[in-house]
Amino acid sequence: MILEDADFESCGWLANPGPFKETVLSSRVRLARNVDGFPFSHWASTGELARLVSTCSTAIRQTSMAADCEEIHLEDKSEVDLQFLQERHQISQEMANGLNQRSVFVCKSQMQAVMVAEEDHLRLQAILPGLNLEETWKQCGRLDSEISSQLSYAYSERLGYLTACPTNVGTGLRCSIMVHLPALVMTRQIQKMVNAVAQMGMTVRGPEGEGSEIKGNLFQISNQVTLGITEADLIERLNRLAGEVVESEKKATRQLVEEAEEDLADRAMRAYGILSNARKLTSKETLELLSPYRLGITSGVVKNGSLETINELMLCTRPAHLQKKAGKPLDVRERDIWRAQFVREKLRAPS
Amino acid sequence: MNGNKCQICQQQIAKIHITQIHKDQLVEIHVCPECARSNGLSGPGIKADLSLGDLVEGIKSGEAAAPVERGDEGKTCPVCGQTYRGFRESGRLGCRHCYDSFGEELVPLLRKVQMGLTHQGKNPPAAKTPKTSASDIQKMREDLRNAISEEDFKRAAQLRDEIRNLKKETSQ
Repeated sequence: MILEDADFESCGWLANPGPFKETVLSSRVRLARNVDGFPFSHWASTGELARLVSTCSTAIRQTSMAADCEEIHLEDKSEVDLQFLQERHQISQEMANGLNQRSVFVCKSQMQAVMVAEEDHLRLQAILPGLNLEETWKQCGRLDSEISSQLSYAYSERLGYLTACPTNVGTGLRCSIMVHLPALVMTRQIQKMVNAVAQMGMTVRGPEGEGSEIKGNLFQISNQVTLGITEADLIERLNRLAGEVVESEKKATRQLVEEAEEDLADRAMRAYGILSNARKLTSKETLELLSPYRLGITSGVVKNGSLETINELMLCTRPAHLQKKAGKPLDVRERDIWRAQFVREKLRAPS
Repeated sequence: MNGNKCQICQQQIAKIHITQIHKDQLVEIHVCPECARSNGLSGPGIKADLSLGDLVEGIKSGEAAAPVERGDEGKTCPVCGQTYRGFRESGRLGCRHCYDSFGEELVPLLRKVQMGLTHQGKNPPAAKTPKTSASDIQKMREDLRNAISEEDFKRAAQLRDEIRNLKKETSQ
């Protein structure tokens, strides 16, 4: 079902409203865990991987998540299916191209998922709309406790949860928020923000994580360290930082409205003009036009737009989503045409 | 930016503009389509991350990134067979025991990338044995047969012991 439904509404972590939704699109917590008695995924033989996947699946099926989730075996899935799961943040890039024996358990709400045989044996994640890190951590932590009552993790008293890459050892926790910061970019304060984030042991990346290109003023902020600090401390630090980022973006937006309201409205409506009339749109262009239009709405200079529609366009114009809607593979040119048509229809529909 | 030269070949017009954060700095790279393709910055399966990182280093300093400190590269984990060299190349350890096998080498790395050297967070409940079914033991027996036919006796001995232990536990 999850692979058959490319509608925006099924993507719970983006389609539902969340706290500070003007700036924070989503909050995510991911835990890396390995099962004792098995080599790490990339080092395991085919037989060991098969046993690992079976051991993990048995454990996950005993959790409260099981009643409400779907197990998706990735080895027989098409490239579009894998990319679709990645666009919905249910699997990693690595998993989309990776090992043979892999599966993912995805909750119907798409707000919880467990990847099996990723870089680590288990990657548990909770992802919620808006700024909601504490609840996100609570959900992910609960799932972790349930799974750990079913199997034994690779754990040492000194180093904590042992992971394939030492950059995840200890808590194995990565918490992140996805933020839209157009006003900080326009007022040239973004580098200052990136520096401030780095000073707090956190890092800023592109919207698709490490090494990804920055498009449409979207950024991901996450913790860098995982060892020598508690989970609660990491969550609290990112939460505090998120509060400051939200406040700075608000302040920069107010400054722009006070000093250049007409310019802000002009940029937003020009972007809207292109989006609602273009016959071809690339993925990058779409995100870069949606950004000023979104800022127009959040700053109040554009009255009739809907944030939900913009979030929908950010997700549903991605390549795999378009191909799912079309029901057939599309090449780059065809995708640009389909994308433009989809955007026109959405923006012209009465909201 | 139209009209600017490609930062790699310095000849063609830069038509691709990529912004990334590299080492906490916003970096813009302007390249021509040809150089973008040959450096893996465009096309199917775009993998801008590492290549752009390398490129940024190259453009900024005119040379490759500084190598990380080296340990005893020939060291091998006796449990899984991963070598320290293999870890350095892939960034991944082979099994939980690699943390002991390469303990000395890992400390400077952990010191560099982590906040401390001791875990402060959550603990799992008291160690539990993974639930193993008869079919899992069957699969392990197949692995054992394969290991013997491939003359991988170290692996075969490991599997033999694992099967013995599991059988003991399931019969308890």
